[in-house]
Amino acid sequence: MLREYLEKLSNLDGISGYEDDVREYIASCAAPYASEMITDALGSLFVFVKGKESPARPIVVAAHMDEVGFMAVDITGDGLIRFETSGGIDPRVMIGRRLRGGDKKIKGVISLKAVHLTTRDERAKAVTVGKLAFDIGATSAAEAKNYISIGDQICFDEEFSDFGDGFWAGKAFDDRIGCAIALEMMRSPLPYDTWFVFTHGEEIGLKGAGPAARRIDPGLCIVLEGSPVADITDIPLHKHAEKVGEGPSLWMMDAGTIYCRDLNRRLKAEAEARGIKCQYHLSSSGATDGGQIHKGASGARAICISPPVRYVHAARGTVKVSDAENAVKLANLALEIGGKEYV
Amino acid sequence: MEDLKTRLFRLCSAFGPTGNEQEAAELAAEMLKPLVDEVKILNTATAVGIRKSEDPNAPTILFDAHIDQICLIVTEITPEGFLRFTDIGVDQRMMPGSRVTVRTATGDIPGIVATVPPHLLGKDRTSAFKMNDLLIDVGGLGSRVRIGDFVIFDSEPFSMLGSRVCTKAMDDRACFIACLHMLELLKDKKLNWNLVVCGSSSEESNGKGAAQATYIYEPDFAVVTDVTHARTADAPQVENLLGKGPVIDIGNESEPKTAKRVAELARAAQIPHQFAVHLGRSGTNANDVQASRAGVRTLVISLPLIYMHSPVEVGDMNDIRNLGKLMAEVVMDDEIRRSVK
Repeated sequence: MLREYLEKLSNLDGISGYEDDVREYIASCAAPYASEMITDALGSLFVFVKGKESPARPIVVAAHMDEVGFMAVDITGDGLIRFETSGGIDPRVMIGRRLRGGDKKIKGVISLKAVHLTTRDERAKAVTVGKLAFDIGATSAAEAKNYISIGDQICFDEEFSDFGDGFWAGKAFDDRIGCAIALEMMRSPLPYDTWFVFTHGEEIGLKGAGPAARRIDPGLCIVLEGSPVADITDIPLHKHAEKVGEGPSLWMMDAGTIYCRDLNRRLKAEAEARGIKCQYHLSSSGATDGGQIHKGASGARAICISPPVRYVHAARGTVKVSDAENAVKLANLALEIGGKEYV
Repeated sequence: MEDLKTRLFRLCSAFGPTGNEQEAAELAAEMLKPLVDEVKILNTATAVGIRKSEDPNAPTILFDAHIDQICLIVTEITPEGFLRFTDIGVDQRMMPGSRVTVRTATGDIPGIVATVPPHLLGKDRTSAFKMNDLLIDVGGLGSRVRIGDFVIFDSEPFSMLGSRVCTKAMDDRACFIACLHMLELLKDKKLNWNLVVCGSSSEESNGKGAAQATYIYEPDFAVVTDVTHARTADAPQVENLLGKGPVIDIGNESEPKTAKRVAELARAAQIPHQFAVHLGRSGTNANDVQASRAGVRTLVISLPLIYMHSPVEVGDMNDIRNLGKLMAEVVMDDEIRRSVK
């Protein structure tokens, strides 16, 4: 059901602090498998699924529910909506995009004055967020306020679809692909009791992860993510980070975590033996919930499994279907091996 | 007949990049058909609708709105299957992360303009991307693409608040729709002109559609209608405003005397209107139309538009309707008619 889960999750809107719809959907999908479900004070969802055995210490499989997006901060007299980014988004990818915001999901656009009206200097420089506005066609603040309030979320207006030769495309694959993989894992009998943790606020500083770690105090944490990759022409090979089509990646190190080397090596070897495509993530920038979980309580071994996703933190990303499917296999393998020897 | 907005959305969704306008021209011709006596598509992919006057000695008035849209053209398929491209009229600041449609010999395929995620970007996030450095990702279907394939923005039309609408290709299909509205208003009226309406090709490159139509139909007077900039928060110096009516141009390509008369007609008919001055070129087909054959008298009436040349151009349906109304007033005016011949 990977495609169904991802389609639904990608189309739902939920920036950090607004994960409610996403959480509700995940909870409804998880309910048949859960023997316990908790929502904590910050909005993270904990789903306990019984497996064949109890592990020596708790096992956490973590994916974050929030996506990068925007928050309305001001409504101008002209009816334009000023915003801030929630999570890191390059202003250059916001221009000319369609978005939807507020409870009514009103559609609007972010754009700039016509190019004909720009100077060469203006064209050469990237624009800053402070200069941009979300335009829903309102001509006064009063009109705009019927649809948007200060603090409302605004998300890229994208619909999930098949794409190209064996890809899926849509918004928020970081980290709805991780959430979808987690849901898919629940559908098969698990080797060990597992806490599936769907965290709040990863994009704004791994917020939900620390409290999640202290609630569960895991011995092993498997983070599920959508990896940033740049395997496109012109980018030098050493800056690609991963290659689309070569399977999900295992992360080695990032700004928050040094992942469990031994388990990574075991998994890579096991995966190869079983014909599951798998690669290493070759960048050490960025961070995942692992950063807060592995050190958050009495200490957990952490790994991160993620299929490569092109264009994370832009409006529309893509993932190769085979990479996503192999990520499910690799995550199940990680649970099997990790739960036995790396807890 | 479908309402004006539905036709606008349909026309703006048709494939008609500069140099490859056939599909858009065919749809424009289909839309002209119920409103005129005769419809043709010229070999430059320009759609023409003709209504003849009952008076065999009547002069000819021609209305021009271009139906071509800004586009990209594939220049290379890289070994990794990404597409490099050149552009006609595209604002490169819109490109990163944009959705596009590539028309290949074996059908349309969707593409995404590639971006490098912030996690992997170097220090430089302060310069705008250059068009030549951008790539289109077609999800591994690069082998279906050929050099020279045309690419347009992939952007669904939608209604905004009030009477505002947002879609690609408002420039200049919105003005063609205004011409249709003009024809609707003139449907049962007796005409003292032979009336020619063109949905012309290639304004964004060389204006060949308008030049050809003007040469063939030899108008005694021509009205060119194109979009013009309206004020935005980041362009406060722009005079014209969205929603305040068609813009009557005054200058070298829009006869001041006739422009003044059109303003009188607008006031009398209570059509909201604005003004713009262009001493030299108006930046529209008027330049080619005016210079056609031994010279043609021209007038430019424009439609205010914001975010021009982006995938999300925004206009106002009331402006479109009022533009149509004003152009109908021009056709029915005895003074302008008498000023010819």
